[in-house]
Amino acid sequence: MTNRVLITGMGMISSIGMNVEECYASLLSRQSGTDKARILTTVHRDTYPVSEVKLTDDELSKQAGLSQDRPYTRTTLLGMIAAKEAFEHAGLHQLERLRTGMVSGTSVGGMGKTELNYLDYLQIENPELLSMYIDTHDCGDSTQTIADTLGCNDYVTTISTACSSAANAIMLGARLIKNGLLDRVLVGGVDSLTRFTLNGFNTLMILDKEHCKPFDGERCGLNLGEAAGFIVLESEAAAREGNRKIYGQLTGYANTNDAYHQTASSPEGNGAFLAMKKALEKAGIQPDDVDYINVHGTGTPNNDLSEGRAMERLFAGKIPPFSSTKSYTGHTLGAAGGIEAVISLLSINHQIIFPNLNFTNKMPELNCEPVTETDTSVAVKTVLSNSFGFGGNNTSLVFSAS
Amino acid sequence: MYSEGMPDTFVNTSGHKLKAFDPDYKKYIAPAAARRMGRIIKIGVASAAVCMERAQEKNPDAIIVGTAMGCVEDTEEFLIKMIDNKETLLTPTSFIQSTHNTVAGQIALLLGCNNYNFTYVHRGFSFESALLDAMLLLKEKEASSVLVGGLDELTNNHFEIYNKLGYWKVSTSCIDSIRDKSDGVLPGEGAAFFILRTEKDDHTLAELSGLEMIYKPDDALLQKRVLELLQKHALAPAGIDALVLGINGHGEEDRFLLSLAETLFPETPIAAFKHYCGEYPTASAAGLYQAAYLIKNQEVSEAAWQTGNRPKQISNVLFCNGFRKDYQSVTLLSKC
Amino acid sequence: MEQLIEDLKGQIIKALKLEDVKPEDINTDAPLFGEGLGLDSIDALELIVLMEKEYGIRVENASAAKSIFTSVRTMADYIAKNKK
Repeated sequence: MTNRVLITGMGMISSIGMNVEECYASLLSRQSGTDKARILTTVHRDTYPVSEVKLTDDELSKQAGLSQDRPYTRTTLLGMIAAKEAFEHAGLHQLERLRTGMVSGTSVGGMGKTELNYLDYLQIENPELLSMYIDTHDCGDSTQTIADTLGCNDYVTTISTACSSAANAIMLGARLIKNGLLDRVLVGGVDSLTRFTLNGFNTLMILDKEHCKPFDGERCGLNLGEAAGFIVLESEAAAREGNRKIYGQLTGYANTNDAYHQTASSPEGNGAFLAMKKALEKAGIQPDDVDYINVHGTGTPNNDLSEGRAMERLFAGKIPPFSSTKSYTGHTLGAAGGIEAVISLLSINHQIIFPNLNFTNKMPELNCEPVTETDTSVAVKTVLSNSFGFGGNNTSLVFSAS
Repeated sequence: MYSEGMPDTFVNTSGHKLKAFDPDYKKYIAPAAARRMGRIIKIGVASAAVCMERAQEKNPDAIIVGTAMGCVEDTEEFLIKMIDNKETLLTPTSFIQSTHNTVAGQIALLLGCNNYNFTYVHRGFSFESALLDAMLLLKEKEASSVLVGGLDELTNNHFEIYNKLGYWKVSTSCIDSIRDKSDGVLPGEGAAFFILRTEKDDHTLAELSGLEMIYKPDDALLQKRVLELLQKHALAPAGIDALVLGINGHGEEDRFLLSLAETLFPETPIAAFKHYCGEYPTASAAGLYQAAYLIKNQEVSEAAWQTGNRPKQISNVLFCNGFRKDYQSVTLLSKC
Repeated sequence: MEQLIEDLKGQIIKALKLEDVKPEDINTDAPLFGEGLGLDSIDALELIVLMEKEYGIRVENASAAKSIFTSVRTMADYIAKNKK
């Protein structure tokens, strides 16, 4: 038995669909989820488009099958829906229990509720009301709630490394399996839209007032989004049980630090270069073997230049087809690595490369440009997925056909 | 195996709040960087700097931090301003600093360290998750020297909010209050950092042999996992020379640890540590520091001992911590 | 103008938390970024908010900011021209 890490299920909810099938249909029909905010109340509603899941918290509760008896943060609701989908897609609800855990990435946690209630927390005299909400603020709340509900409690933890959180969760999950600590693990991430993050990114002046244009010469920023994306990783032995489909394998992963600046990436993309290089080395493959790169591609002047330069360096000018699906889903922060893992697997399973929307002008500093039309002509066996976060946190994952 | 952590930062000040000691930050962090850092970030970075100095480590192969609540002061600052200013005239610094991985990121930035960098944020297992990750990296031979830390801060707002919930003990004697089995815990905060290495050297304090995290256990399960951990290392309960217990004085919360001690280790001397640092989700980092020191120095301060007996020779220490009942962890340390 | 420059230096020190710097330490014509005070891109964003908060002037984007924030003098000149 080899030490492979196999993928047996996927779940996703985002601005482009309530489940994997709907998201896939949107990707095929070039349907972006970016629009004026309908759910989030913010003074910036008419200025900055966002990529929202178009359901209220109540509607999400119903979708998640959760009762209204206790408060669930929007992060938990989104996470529960995608996690359940992945869990059931992998058939885990029907199989005999092996050692099953969960690793989730998030940056926002329960901030959605906290920002509505915070000043009240300080005035509030009713301890019962206070305790109902206050313990949902931390990042671990959504992970623990979901793991408790699904029964994947053998090891549960939460990672928060900004925009690389979910990718890091996937990486840790693989290592837990390879080190024999778990047989199965639900991995990915979730973040909901909040005024905190929208205003935070606004202070950095990296939000686009229009739909973002990743890797475009005229790009000027990102669109914030919300989503949850989870996949189920299993050891080879565990994956053999129950006659189930294998959707791919996680063959490579690496995490590095740019160590250049707290929020900006180094101009030559040093951290990104190292992350991609090490991930390929882990997978035991050459740059030539990569069929598609799902880039981090937020649409900010800084990221796309840094990432582009890193790719040109690593692939020595022969960059494989690449696209940023943030042009569809927006930048979903802690969830990005999770939904992009699902998208990478869709790419492998449907032999398809999704386009980078809103691209018109090549970046003058680069020789490459992204794919702009859906492409089914390429045999997609190996996908590289990038997620780069604040604090110089760079993660690359390699997904391969099984 | 690992080396020393941070200086003795646990000092009882501010009435019944166990606020962490503020070192002279200028010694460890350049003013240009420090001016932006909230308090817990400075404490974390300074602790890590002292740790690396003691271990003579310039560029660890990995930096891993555990923090359940993250950078609360900066989060509060941005949040309150956002609400007060109705989402206008906001500045970026407190937002940037509020991200949970700021401490790990700042350490990497100050060192120019391009290596593995993770931050765990899972409640009472935040530090343990970081420790487990570090141990896995060493086992996988992906690293030979890892900087691991655990930290959380107690802001005034955090204190006030939990005060309304009746969460804190009000006490003038911390040493007594961790034994009184009443409701409430001592409000605390702090940071502790360690260097974990595969090879022993002059700085080594102890060997970290095993770590177990047990979620929502009952007495039987906790005791079973402890015995399994010991068996894996060819030990029986009698082979443990001292227990370091994370008792915090809350009757309900301490039940598991006290029952574990009574049942499996009735004669073993017990040392506590939460009278120094108070209770917070990553207090286990402070406890590990205490346990490691106990092995290295073969003693801790007299005030820490909870039982009448004292260990003669300390070769094996079992460090057991609990956070709000649901998060119980056990770590085995050995002299080396 | 001299008063504006003095006030501005104090506001910059406060906004950027330059604890060890006094107004008289800042050379009016020295570069603020890179050398001189050695400020960075986050400081530039803080100064953009300062302009709006203290003087009601909106700096629309980061690239406009570059020339305005070259030195204390260029900032003062811009404020004098555009103050509401």
